Amino acid sequence: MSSPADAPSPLQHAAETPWRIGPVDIVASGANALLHDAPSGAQLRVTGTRLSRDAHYDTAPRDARIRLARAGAMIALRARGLYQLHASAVVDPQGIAWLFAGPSGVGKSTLAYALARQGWQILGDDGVVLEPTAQGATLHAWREPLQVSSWLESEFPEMGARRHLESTNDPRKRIPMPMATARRSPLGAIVFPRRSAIDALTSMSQTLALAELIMQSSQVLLADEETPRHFARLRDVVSRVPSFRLEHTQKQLHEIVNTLRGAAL
Amino acid sequence: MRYRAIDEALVATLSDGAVLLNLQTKRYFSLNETGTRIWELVQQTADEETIVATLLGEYEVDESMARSEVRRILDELIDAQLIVPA
Repeated sequence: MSSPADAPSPLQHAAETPWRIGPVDIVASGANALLHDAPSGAQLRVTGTRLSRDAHYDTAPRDARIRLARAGAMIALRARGLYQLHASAVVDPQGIAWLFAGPSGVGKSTLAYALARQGWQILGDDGVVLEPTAQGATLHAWREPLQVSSWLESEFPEMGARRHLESTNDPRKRIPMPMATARRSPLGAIVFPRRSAIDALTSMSQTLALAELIMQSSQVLLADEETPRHFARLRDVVSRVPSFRLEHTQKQLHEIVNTLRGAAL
Repeated sequence: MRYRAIDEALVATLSDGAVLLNLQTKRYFSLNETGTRIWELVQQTADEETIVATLLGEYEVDESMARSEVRRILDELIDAQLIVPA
């Protein structure tokens, strides 16, 4: 019989897996991860759900520390079964959350803003936290200001008053727009927007929805012993929550509420 | 020829197919209903001939179509590095 001192370390056989969020390299091993910000050389360590400063962190530029903290928070959330998604989300007047997921440029923030102008509440602009539940999922806010491209000022004239806040380094010339926010809400539907020459909201297959969702939840791809469990939890979400493809033109900036009503959840 | 799934392949089966995730390449692969059945048969270490014969018993499809579909999906799974010769 082995004594505790003879027992192998739980990390001994864990595979080390390189991973990356933007310029942040991540080496994960079991419940631990070391995050390395390539431009600054600063490091942050994640142990379970705890973040701790490592080499060069204290002297790193602010944007490097923000990148590390953001990636560290994603990994710490994952350890708790919560998944940060690259998505926007809004809560309708009935208290149901709508998730807009997809790569940059498909219109996630724009559609969220168009809905917020109609009284819907923002859960997240470029990120939101998904918690799978027995019924489907709950969405939690990921607090970052809603930013809308100043190119849309002709559609949303109120943006003109905030033009002085336009980000000069941003190729999309985005302007932060303060809107009513929500903290959490049950997820009613997942929408995958796509810019198009037509307007159409169509039901999406579960397989395609899962494939697209995992691409916006890169921490699921972090290969460790917990990955199969997280992958199965995302599968359960798409099998319980309806998914839609939204092909949209500029027209949807003013018609999106009626379009989503057509989904008839 | 017989094939086996790599150890780093994860599968999530849904009502309309499945999504395969290759943890080595970090790439995913979605399968329709037939593709999902072929994946299940590969995992049972069935060889190509047995997979074709099984599909002929389960689906209303002619043999040449079943054979070409099995070959196509096996080739795609090989390209995605999700299966290797057993």
